[in-house]
Amino acid sequence: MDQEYIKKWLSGTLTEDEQLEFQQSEAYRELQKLDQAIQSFKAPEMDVEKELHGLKLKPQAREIKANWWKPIIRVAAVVLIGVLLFQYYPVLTRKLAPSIEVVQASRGETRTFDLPDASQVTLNASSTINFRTKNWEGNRSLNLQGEAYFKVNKGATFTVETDQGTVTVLGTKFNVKSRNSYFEVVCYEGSVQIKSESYQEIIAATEMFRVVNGTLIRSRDLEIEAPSWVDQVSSFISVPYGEVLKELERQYDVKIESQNIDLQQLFTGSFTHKDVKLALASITQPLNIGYNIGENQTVSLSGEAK
Amino acid sequence: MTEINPSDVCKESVFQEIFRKNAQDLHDFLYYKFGSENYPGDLVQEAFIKLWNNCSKVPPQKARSFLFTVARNQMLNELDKKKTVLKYQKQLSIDRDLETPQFKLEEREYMERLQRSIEELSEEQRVAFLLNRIEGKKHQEIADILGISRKAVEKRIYTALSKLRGKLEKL
Repeated sequence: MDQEYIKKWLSGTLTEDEQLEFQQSEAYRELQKLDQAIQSFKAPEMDVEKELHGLKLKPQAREIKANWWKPIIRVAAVVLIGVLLFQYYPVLTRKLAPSIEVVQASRGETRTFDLPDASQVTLNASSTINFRTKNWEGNRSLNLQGEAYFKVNKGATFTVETDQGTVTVLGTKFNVKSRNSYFEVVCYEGSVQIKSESYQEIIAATEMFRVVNGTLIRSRDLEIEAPSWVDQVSSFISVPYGEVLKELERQYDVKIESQNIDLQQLFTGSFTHKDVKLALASITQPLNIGYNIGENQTVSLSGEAK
Repeated sequence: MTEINPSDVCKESVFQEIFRKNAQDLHDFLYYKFGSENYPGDLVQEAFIKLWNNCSKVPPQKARSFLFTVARNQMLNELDKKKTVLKYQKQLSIDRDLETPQFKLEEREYMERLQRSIEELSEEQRVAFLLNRIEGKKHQEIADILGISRKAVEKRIYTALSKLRGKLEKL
């Protein structure tokens, strides 16, 4: 009886009637006394805040564990940047690189290349072309120093600027030679406009326009379809001899020293680019000039003493 | 704690909150288990340091049971272990002045006998019984703390009470 009630009392499941009945018993008074006395054994209160501050926690353990994702993010960022750079490398270089492209042919070589619109340019020896790659189709314009042969595709105006004048076409084949005081344009197809401060000319196919030392010359009915230098032969029609010698210097990368030679006399003829002896023979023999090939790419020419 | 991020316990603020919520309970448990002579305060600190060092592996809602598991498993070196001693405080009762010297004497004897009896209880019975009678913990709460069933808790408490009554009756 007591046992049942004590169990129920412990778990707090006594009904009201049972509670009243139990309270009358001797066992209850004894339990009450015991229960009250036991309260004296309560565990001492703990100073929680003091204990909390007394905790000696290793901070670096927390650092590592709390930030486990940081190194992963760092690695991910590096990988991402790498991937993006790789992906956009062509775009970046196109944007960052200067938009001016320079093509050069050094002495003794010729060079053929395509412009952005697939127009073809062949550079003769010791010549340079530069042009803007940006918006090429809308503004076909380039700068030439030296000599070049153009095969221009149809499209917007195509302009070649030189120190001695501007050559404008709409789509044709033509050769421009601009060397010091020598300026020559030959048109092989269509028509070409030539403009400078002192003159403005339009030449048609098979026509040639030339300015030498300020003298304008026009000639017609040239029976050639492309400049001969493209086929490794330099041809001249009534060109001052000095200009012929300079062309030979450019094609063979040699230095010519001349003695007793009239550099203004006009020369008509040609020389090959393949054999320097043959070339020298073909430009000296007709004029009765002797030549001697020396060291260090030097050639001496000497005319007959007068 | 609303967040369930497993690494949250590593946050100082969360850890402190867990400490404030559980430190006293943990201390009570260790005090009733080992007594005042075995530095229950130090054992509390040890448990929390263990929690801190494992903060990334313990989600906040599991922190309490982690702490009590650690506390339960704290085995004291038998050589270092001191007898479980529970101190009692003098009861502050308004009626005390009216009591006769003989009553006071009986009272003191009763308390001393009770102290010895509690100390003589098995560790398991004592912890369950005192958490219930003094701290007012419900049977289920005690079962969670001790990692045992509710039925077992009830049995321990009842056995403890019977033993105490038996020893006190001989007065």
